[in-house]
Order: sequence, then structure tokens, then C-alpha cells
Amino acid sequence: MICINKRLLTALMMIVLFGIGAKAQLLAVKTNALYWAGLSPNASIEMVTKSRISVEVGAFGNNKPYGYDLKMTGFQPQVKYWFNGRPMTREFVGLGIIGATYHWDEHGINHKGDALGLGLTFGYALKITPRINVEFTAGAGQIYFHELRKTYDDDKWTTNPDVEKAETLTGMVDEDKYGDHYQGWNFMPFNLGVHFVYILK
Amino acid sequence: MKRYSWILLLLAFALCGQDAVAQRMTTVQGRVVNSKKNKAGKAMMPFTDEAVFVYIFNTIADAQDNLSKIDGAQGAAVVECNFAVCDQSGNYECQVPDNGALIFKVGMAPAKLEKVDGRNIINMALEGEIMLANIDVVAYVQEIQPKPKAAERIGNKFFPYNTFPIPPHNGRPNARLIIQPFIIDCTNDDTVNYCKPIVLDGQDYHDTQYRLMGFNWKHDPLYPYIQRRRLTAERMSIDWADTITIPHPDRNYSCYATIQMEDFTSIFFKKDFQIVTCHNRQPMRFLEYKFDMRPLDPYKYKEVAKREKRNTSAAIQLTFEVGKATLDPNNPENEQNIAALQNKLKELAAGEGVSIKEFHITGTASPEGIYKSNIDLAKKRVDFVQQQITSILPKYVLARVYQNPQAIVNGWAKVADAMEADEQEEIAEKIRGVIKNTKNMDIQGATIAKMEEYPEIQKYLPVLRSVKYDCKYEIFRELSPEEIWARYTEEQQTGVERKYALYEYWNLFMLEKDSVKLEKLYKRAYDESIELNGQPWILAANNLAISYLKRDTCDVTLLEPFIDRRMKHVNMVRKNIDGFTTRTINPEEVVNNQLCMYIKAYDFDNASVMAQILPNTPENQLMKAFALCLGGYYKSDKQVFETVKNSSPVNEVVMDLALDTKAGNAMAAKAAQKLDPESPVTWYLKAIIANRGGDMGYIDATQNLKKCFSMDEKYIKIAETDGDLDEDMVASTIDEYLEEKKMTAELNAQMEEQRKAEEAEAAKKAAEEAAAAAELEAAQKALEEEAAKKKAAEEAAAKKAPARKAPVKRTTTAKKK
Repeated sequence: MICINKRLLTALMMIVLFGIGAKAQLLAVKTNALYWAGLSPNASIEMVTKSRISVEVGAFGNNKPYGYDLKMTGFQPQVKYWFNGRPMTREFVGLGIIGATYHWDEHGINHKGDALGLGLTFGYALKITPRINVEFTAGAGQIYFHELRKTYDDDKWTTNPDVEKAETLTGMVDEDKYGDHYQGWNFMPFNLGVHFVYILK
Repeated sequence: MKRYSWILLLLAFALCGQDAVAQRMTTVQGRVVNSKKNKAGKAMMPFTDEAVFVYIFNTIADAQDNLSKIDGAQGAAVVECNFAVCDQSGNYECQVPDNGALIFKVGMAPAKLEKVDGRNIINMALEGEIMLANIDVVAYVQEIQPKPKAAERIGNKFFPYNTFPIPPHNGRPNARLIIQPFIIDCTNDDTVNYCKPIVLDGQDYHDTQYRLMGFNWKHDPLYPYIQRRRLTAERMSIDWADTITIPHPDRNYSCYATIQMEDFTSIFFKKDFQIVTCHNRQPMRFLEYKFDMRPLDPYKYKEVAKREKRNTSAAIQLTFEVGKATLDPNNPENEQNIAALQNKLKELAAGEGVSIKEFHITGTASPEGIYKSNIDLAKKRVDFVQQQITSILPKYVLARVYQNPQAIVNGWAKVADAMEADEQEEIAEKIRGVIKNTKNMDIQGATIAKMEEYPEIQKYLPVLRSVKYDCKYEIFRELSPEEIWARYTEEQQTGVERKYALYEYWNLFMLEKDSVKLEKLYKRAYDESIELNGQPWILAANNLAISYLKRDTCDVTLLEPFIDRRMKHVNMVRKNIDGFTTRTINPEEVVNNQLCMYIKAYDFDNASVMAQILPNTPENQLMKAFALCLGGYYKSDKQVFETVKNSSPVNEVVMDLALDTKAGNAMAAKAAQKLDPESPVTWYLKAIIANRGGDMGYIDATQNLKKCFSMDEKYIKIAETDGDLDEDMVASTIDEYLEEKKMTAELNAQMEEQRKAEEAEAAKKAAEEAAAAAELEAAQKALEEEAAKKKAAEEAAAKKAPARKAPVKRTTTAKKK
């Protein structure tokens, strides 16, 4: 399931970068300050493809920010529609996808899984200089996740009896098999950010 | 003390008396400045926005009397006295008695009285009130609506200008304002020219436009016109002025502008406005000038004559004795001809550059006798002549001559022809009959010899015994002026044009006196020199230019090849590439004539360039000044201004008016008093001056215009489109003038009718009287006749009876009228 998703996303990215990107009128690099505040390095490229439409592809990741036992990598492609006819100026609405794999421990529960979501973003690009913008974005989206939850007591994985049984039968330990599989939909904030944009060309 | 008091008294009287008598006129000069700060924040500067009047009074008392009058009013015509007006730099000059007084007055400020006291320089600082700039009271409208202005025009330069008010909330930071003015020809509404657009960007628009252009402004065609000012939502006012070269200086032009505003997505405002009216102001229109055209010295530009080979021929005819190869002694022409031929040949052989090419000697014999011996005779005759020639010509000449001796016997047909020409048709017919019968010349001869008319025929034979000589030779030489002239006259008669060498044209220039023909010659020489040398011949070009100028035609391309604009000097001598010959760049005469040409073409810009090349010699001064003045440099160059101003009374007024200042207007008004009142221009200029006085001058302007129209109606058309005159005033004046004219015409017609009626009446009366007189006369005549009859009867009776005395009856003529 996740493999398919990854392929799909890669394909989408390729299309964005090389297919539509060939017509780009403007090319900008940007980074989201809010993510940085969460100690998550991130960067994205935005390309203007038509007078009112631009496409953005970005990636982010983190590892144990502020000591949290959290690790996450993901990417966030987005198509934006600019309302006033000039791209990267003033109001826009964006339709975006988020794909991420994550892993975190919390309250004795270990989460490990992938998420894929679709979200709608609203934003405003504030021109600072001809080459620099500050972009405010906020949105919400429906996100599908699929994860393995493991709980542990006294440094021992608590697993379901079936797996233990199988392990004893085969003599092999498959850590992934510990825990329970969870999946579901979450409605959550999407693409919150204060982006600094530098227009390359 | 008392003893001397009378002396003192006497002395005092003497001094006072002297004081009263010694009124010498002196010239007083000076400068009047503003003691307060002007608009630029500087004190002690001349008044620029107000006319400064200097009133001249012969006595101090007189000045004091008038001081209050002057103080209370504004303008010149308050008191009856002389006055002077300060020029732009505040200087004045006037003639005043050395014990007189001057009153200085500027605007509404209090007048200042200054006693002359024998001084020659009186400088004055007046307290000008704080000068408010000309205030335009603008009722702000919410719409963009520029007001059309009357623009100035000098020659082919049009100076449209306007101010575009952008009311608040029309502009935006994310919008671009484009003003595209364009020039319209008022006669046919054609668009002549697009002026430079004005582009105002809002800051947001500007920055995002930069992005849109890929951070390269070259991609935006309007970038060069983007102003530094940014468009905002505030009220703005955009000044615009341009200089346009117009194609037809005799027409009027107006200017429109498309004003457009667009934001990121759409054009949200677009409208056309007229911003300059068809009423152009032409301050230099009435400037008087005449062209000082200068011919080139023809001897300096004489073309070197080129020698050419010319085919020439000479021919003579000699007659011979019968049956002999000797010249006919009865014909004296023979000797002369032979001598002339020999002389000619000697001359040719000795002449420089002459080569004899061909001899054609044809000896002929007459047909009588035997043909063979005739032929021999002809040959002998040819030999005779040939010998005459060869004896005198050197061998080396002879060796190069193609000789073609021919001996022929003239047939009887020639005799017949000759006789026929002499109206001896019968004999000729007979001879022809003989020729027809036989072809043998011997038989023909025998037959004819037997004819009755043979003696008659014989008379025609000697002419046939002759030698013709024809010589062709080449002469390598130049033509003399007489020969050139002869060719030219021949061409004039036949009408077939031929080509001449340039030196031949040079001679023709000197010989031809008719100006029309001369111009044609100049043009031909000019065209041919281009064809021949690839560049025009300066003399022909200059002469042609002068000829054109004389008849008000212009062609600025004629003289341009001789002028190098990079050189600001005249008569520069340059070596040609060959290193030996030289040429003159910018000959003074040519530059001067080209200047005239440009003025004629209304291209005052280029005329000014020519003026800058011309040196500052006294003879150039006036022409230079006119060119620079017409080119619009009169405002910056004081010398130009003064030179043109002093050149004629009309020019003085024109130049003062061109300043377009209050002081200028006042000076113009003063200068206009000196103009010739019989000239319509005078009244037109006076109308302009009055018109500039605003509402106060309305009536004066109307009166002056009417007077001008009555002198020359062509000024109606000028006034109709003159931006120097108020449009409404002109319209109503024209109406009034035409109305008055119509009324006068009606009145005249009425008077004429009345006069005619009176005349008819008088004629009728006269006729009646004449009839009455005729009647009376007839009656009288009848009476007289009757009396005569009676008398006759009485006389007859008296004859019969002489003793009886005839009674006398008298008629009076008093009744007769």
C-alpha cells in the first residue's frame, strides 16, 4: 500500500518538475519558518506555469526535535491558483497533497507509519522586494494514516499472542510484527506556515 | 551787513534762475530689484512676474502731483507721461531732465519717487509684495478630465504641453497609468505623430511587473517611459511637454491623449481627451526677415576645360577648263579657293592636337566627247588637286591620312537635272529621251551634240567639270565660349537637349541672362555633375539654390553634401586623398544659403545648426540671429534677442510679445505705438497686445482686429486659428465685422440707389428742358423763316416799288433758353 503511494508521489513530482515545469515563468525557492520553529528543516520549489497557476513541491523532515522521540520525513506538492492574475502576488488558494512517514514514541506507545492526505490551503503572498515574498498559509485536510502501534512495559514489547506464537514456531523475531496495525482518517490543519520566498528567476 | 544783503539776494535770484533754466536732458540707466525674497527665496533679484514701470517727469513737483495717482492704480496708462519698462534683468534706460524725477512702480506695491539730481545711474530696490505664483483655482473633480491648452509653435516645431490631473482614488498601487498623446492634423484629422507616452506604475504593479518580465526590463516595451514617480491613490498631477516636428508648417495641429489605467487583470479606465486645441500660438509668425543669398565666386569654382576630339570637315569646289586639267581662268574663285585650302591645310598640319584623318577628292568631267578620254581627264584633275595638297603637307602627315581619290564623268542626266532646275524643262525632257534610248554615253553625247538646243546645253557643262575636295580632321581642343553659345542657341532653336561638359555649363552660366533659362541650366548642370562625378558640382548647386530661393521654392538636399555639421567652422580647406588637390568644406556662402533654405522650409532646427557653423562676422550677424531666433533660442541668447528686436519696428513688437511676460507685453505695447498705422499687421499685433490685457483689453482687441480685417481680410483666417487671441473674442469680432461690412454694403447700395434715382431725375428734367428748348427753337425758327419770307416778299415788292420802306421786324433771343 505504501509502496504504491510512494511511486505515485514520485511520478507526480516528476510531472511537476519536468513536465509542467518546462513552461515555468518564475522559479522560487521557499522555506517555512513555522516548520523551522518545530526544528524541522524544510524547503520547496515553486514554479509558475500559467499566469494564474503555480506549482510547488517541497520536502521536510525532522529527527527528535526538542528531545521528542519523533522522526518524520515527508513531502508536500501543491497547485496554487492566484486570484488577481499575477502569480506569487496577494491571495491564492492551493490544493495540496501531503505524504509522510513517521515514527514516534509517546506514553509508552510507539507509532510507526505513513500518512497521505489531501488538503485545501488559503494564503496571502506579501511582496517585500521584487525578489522576496513572505507567504502566510493555512488550511485543512483529510489525512489517511496507516501505522503500527506497539506498547512496551519494562523495555519489553507487548505483542499479540499470535505473533509470539509464530516467532516461537519459526525461531525468528520480526519486530514489525509486534504491535497492532491501525489505519484511519484524520481531519486536521494542513500546510500551516509562514514562508520566506526567494524568487530565483 | 545790510550793504551786502542785496548782493546776496541778487546772487540767490541768479542761482534760482539758473536752476530753473538749466534743464538738460540726460540718459539715466539703472536696475530695479526686489528687496524682498522672490519665489526662489532670493532677495535683491529683478522682478520676473510683474512689469516694472519707470515714469518720467520733467519736474519734481509734477512727479509729486502724480505720485498718488500712480500709487493707486496698476498698469501703464494711468497718467499722461512717458514711461520706460524694465527688461527681464531689471534694467531700464530713459531720457529725463537732470532735475526731473522718476517714479518707480511695480504691481500693487507702493510707488517710489526718486529725484534725478543729475545722476546717470539710479538703481532702485522696491518692496515687492510677496509674489504669489499664478494661482489656478481648481475645483477638484472626481474624474480625469484634462483641459485643452493652446500650444506654441515655432516653424516646424510644435510644443504641445498639458497637465493631467489624476483625482484621488483613481490611481492604485497595483495599477499602471499610461498616457499616450498623439498629434492630429487639424485640416484633415489625420494622426501625424505619436508622442512619447507617460507611464506611471504603482509600486506593487511595478515590482510584480518586474517579476513578470523575468527580472529583465527589456521585455517590457513601455519600460523606457516609466516615470520615477509612483502611482498612488492620492491626488496627482502629471506635467507633460513635448517637442514634435510637424510635416506641414502651414497647418495647425492639435493633440489628443489616450489615458488608460490597468491593474493586474484588466484595463479599468480608458478614454481619449483633447489636450491641445487647434489654436496654435505662433509668436514668430509676424517676424519680418529677408534672405541674404550669397553667390559663389564663379572664378573660384571654374571647372577645368576638358579637351575632346572633335570631327570637323572642310570642303571646296574647283572648276576647270574644257578638256584640260588646269583651273578655269575665268573663274576667280578658283584661285582663292586653292589658296584658302592650302592655308587651311598648313594651319591644320601645324596646329597643336590636330590630326588630319581623311581626304576625299572627287574629280569630275563633263559628259560631252568620248567617255574614256573624259575619265582620263577627271583623273588628271584629281591628280592636279592632290599635287596641290601634297606639295604643302609634310610627309609624316600625309602618311597618316587616308586618301580616297575618285574620278567620275558626270552623265547627261546631271545636265538634264541642272536644266530642269533652271526651268528649261523642254530641253531637259529631250535629253532624258536620248538617255532613255541608249546607254552608251558616246552615242548619247553625239546625239545631243546634233540637237538644235546644243549651244544652250553647252552653258551648263562647265559646272560639271570640277573637283570636290573633302577633308576630315580631328581637333583635340576646348570649345570657345562663342562656340558653346552657338551650340546652345542651336539647341534652343531645335529644342533637342544635348549634354555639355561642366566647363561648357560654366560658360553658359556666364552668358545666359534669362533667369528661367538659367535655372534650367543650373539644374541640368547639377544633375549631370552627379551623373558624371557621383557628387554635385558646388557652383551649380549653389546657383540653383539661390534661384530656388528667389522664387520661394525650397530643396534642402541641394547644398547638404557640401556641409559637414561636425565642423563648426566655415571655409575649411582639406586635402583630398590624392594628397595634392584640396577641397573646401563648409564654404561660407553655401552654409549661409542653406540656412536660408532651411528657414524657407520652416526647418528652424537645422537653420540654427547652420547658424552655429557661420562665423560671427557683421554680415552674418542678422541672418544668424534670425535663424537662432526662429529656432527658439531667443529666450536664452540675449544677443540674438536684441539683434532681431532692433532689426525692425514690427520685429520689436513680435519679440517683446514672444517673451510672454507682463513686462514683455508692456514693452510691446510701447513699441507698437511706433508701427505704421496703414499696415494690417500693426492692428493685428495691437489686438494681441490688448487681448493679453485680459478682460480690460477686450474692447480694444475687438476694435483693433476689426481695423485689421478691414485692411486685409486674409487675417480673418489667421485669427480664427490663432492661439494668441481669445477664441470667443475672435469669433464675436468676426461676426461683428461681417455684420458691419454687410450693413455698410447695404448702406452703400442704398446711397448708390438714391444717387442713381437722383441722377435719373436730373436726366429726366434735363431731357424735358431740352425738349422744351427744342420746341421753342423750332417755333423761333418758324417765326424767323416766316419773317424771312415776309422780308423777301417785301423786298420783291420794294423792287417793284423802291420808294416804299420795308418795315423791320425783330425777334428777341431772350426768350430762347
